[in-house]
Amino acid sequence: MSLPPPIFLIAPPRSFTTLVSGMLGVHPDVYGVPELTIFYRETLSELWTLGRADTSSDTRMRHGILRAVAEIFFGEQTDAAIAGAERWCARRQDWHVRDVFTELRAAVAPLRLLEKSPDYTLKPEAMLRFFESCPDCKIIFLTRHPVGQCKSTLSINDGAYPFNCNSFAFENGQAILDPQIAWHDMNVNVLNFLETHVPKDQYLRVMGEALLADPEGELKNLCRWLGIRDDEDAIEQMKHPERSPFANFGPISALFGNDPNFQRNPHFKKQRARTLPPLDGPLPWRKDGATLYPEVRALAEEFGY
Amino acid sequence: MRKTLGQVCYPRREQVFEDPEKEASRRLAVMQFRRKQVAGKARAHVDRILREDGLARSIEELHDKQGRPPPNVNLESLVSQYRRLNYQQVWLSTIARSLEEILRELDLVRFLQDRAASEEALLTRKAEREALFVASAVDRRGDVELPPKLVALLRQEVKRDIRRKEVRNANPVQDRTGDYYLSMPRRMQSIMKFLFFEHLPEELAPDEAKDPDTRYRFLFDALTEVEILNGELQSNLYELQEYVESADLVMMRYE
Repeated sequence: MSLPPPIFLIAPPRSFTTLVSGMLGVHPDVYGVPELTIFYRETLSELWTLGRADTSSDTRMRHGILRAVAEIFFGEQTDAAIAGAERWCARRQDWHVRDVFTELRAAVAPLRLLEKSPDYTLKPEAMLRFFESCPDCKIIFLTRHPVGQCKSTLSINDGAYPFNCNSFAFENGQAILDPQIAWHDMNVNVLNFLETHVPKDQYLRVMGEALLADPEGELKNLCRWLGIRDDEDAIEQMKHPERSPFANFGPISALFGNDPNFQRNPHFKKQRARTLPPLDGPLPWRKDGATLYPEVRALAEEFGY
Repeated sequence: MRKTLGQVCYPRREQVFEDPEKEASRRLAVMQFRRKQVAGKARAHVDRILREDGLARSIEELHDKQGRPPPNVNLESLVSQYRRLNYQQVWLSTIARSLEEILRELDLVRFLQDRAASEEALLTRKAEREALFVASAVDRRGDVELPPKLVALLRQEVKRDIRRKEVRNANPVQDRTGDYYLSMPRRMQSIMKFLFFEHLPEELAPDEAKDPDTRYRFLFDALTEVEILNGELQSNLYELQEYVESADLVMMRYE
């Protein structure tokens, strides 16, 4: 039986991925799941045996898959259902993640499974693994202005993310935290992956700011490209990401699986079209008045900023 | 293929740059960041507890500057505020106890690190170490000389013991998820343990014990920070205890 092709949303973290995924996930033809993060590894068991040095928050990485399995196969997200999901995963611990993902796809068919895990952009093998697992998938590449994205990463958890992914600039023998390097390299990783492995008709680049400023128009275009309903009712439903079963905190044993800020307030508010910061101005996070690197500026211009 | 600017990576790696200078400055930056993060988070938690508006209101409602309850006060409200005050006091006491426990554990970790480092130094000078060890063993057992095999076994045992203690102290919280949203004092304890022990082992792991001075500096800073927090908390706690005692008197008048 052929399954409907899944949708992957890829973008560096803090690029509106959670909100856009939440909106697309409540489309009547789509089933949006939390961040599964399963494609980091070959098998599920590896996700359970990650050491502390491997990730900054190893147990949280499993919350997405546990909540998804609990909701899809057990019909609820309670501690008992999460325990069931643990057992479900344990029975499939030696499976290739492709087969696990296929089982999830089959369970939600005829709906199309939508997955987004922004950290895939740091690991090209992870992107390649999900594409090899689902060669018929559609990929949405979401972009965000470098200054906005960098400010956002720095404002979360004291800027731990750029630290954890090693986004350092070296000047005068000193390591300076500069998230623009992560913005550039993660986007380059995505572009390298898309341009080398994915046929052009299977991916679409979308400006996050444009989508939030004109949701009706942009979502309609997106639906048409994905081949799903684009009538008014479908668009209206997509404006309510809070209706997703994953748009809140899970039970104690699997609280997360998504951006906690979104889980606290999963409502969509249409944003006014704002003037984006200039690409040549001094950066607010650099005390030395440094600006964006020429490579970062060139890439941002290529994205239309 | 497009070129990247830096070396962003996932999962996080112990060593990122081959150039030792770059790697050293990266490590320094990461360590400064972690220290700031740990101290900042602990301070934010304690500040939030101490600034709790409800606490101030409770005290205000219970008695004025002369220790008398305000006139025409509702008895039910008085009782509920009194309970609230009592609860806050229990909570603060628990935090103070947690901080003291952390202080003790930090001290112990530092002591073990120190012992492990000296053990390591001795190992590098094997002959000298053998002699010292045997001498100390002989000292302990009078004039009986121990056979070399037993000496080796004892040495292994000492090292294993140190390692066991290190591991035990470095991983007091195996999985913190289960501790979330339990009773308040327990939750607070788990937060405190998370704040300090989730971050410390990264700097203290024996495998990367290249620079003991750096580790000691980190521990020393953490200790100082905890001592300061504990001092602040203790003084607030005493103040609160006084309030509760005077509130007890107020309640007795009503009873």
